[in-house]
Amino acid sequence: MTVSNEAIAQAIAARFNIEQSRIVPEASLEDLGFDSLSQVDLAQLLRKKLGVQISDAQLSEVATVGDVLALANGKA
Amino acid sequence: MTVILCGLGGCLAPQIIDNQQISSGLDTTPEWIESRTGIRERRMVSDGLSMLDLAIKAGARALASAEGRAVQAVVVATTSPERICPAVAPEVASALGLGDIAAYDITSACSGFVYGLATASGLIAAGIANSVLLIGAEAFTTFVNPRDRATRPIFGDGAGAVVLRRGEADEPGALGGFDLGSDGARSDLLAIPAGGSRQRSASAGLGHDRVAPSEFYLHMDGRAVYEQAVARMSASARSVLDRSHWSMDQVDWFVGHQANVRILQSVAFELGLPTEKVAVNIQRLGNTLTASIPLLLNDMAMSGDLKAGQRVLVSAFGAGLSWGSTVLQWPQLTTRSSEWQD
Repeated sequence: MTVSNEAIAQAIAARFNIEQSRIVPEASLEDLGFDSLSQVDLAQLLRKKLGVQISDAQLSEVATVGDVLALANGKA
Repeated sequence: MTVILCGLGGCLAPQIIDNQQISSGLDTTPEWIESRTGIRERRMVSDGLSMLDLAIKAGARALASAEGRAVQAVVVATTSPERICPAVAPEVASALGLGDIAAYDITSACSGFVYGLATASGLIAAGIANSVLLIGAEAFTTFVNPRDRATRPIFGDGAGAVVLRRGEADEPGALGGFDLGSDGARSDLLAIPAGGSRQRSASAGLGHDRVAPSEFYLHMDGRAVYEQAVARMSASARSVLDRSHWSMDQVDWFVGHQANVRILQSVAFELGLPTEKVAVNIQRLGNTLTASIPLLLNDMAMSGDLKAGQRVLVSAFGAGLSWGSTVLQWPQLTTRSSEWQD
């Protein structure tokens, strides 16, 4: 199953209380207010809401929403 | 037979330190501390005040809340005892005029209060005591490296206490089942490396000055602890609800150990609990380890947020690693402020 940018954006917006229009592929996670603890929460969100398993090591590599999307779709 | 919570009390260290004060001299800011932990201020001991002083006051208030009920045992859960030997519980019992009853300490870090509830329940179930005074008491700010920006702002000092008695399952205040667990393979994620027998054995005859001073303070792998805390508390909470035949929808309040507001929010997300059911007072008190759950219950009872008959899910996680959960239906209790002077 392919995870869409819209699905990721909706999930992140609801969980982290961020305006959905800001969650575009080129957006930096740091600019969206993510820190190292948010990355743990992001892994939880992807598993729980989108059925995607991402390891800690993989998450430490991501910098943008697009990177997360690529990981979720197995393209990273 | 079951165990009933019938008394509650708390006592906070008198000195309030806000984020501006705590961040002075550390490479951090008040905003960073609040965004990472949810903490705005905490209480700290000073001038020779110890966890024992806090424990005695909290214990006296819990006994008063239980209308002076006679107890046959005192259990103190602590991670910051004022000395390695002996246990402080006997001194608490003596100070409270309880005579020569059973009294001992338990060590299970931030899970200590839930482990204490289970231990006290065991004393009652075994017929060793009809009623037990359980106290979680900490002056852990004295065990935190004053130069460590990661751990220094997190902790606060205080004590919380409950009285437990033998009763029936349909009585208000009845404790439900327990879920307890541990993972010693991850003991290094939260630890004070020096001061124990291994370090003493290794440095015998050499003196403590051969050990780096930082080894006598808490070391914490914050991100790994965060991840484990969310996973373990969530699983433990689910397990105890199953054992107690409660559904998630029946829970009125999630009273989790106050380590970090973001851990509590993540556990709630994992469990599907609305955030308005997550009880929080960490912003005022910081992480008070074994005292956090009874201090939070006392705050909630005092404010009227926690009402008789409401269903409470209690869950804790801490060093060890260790974790535990239980449930109870809140009883009608007389409570008073946890402030030192009141």
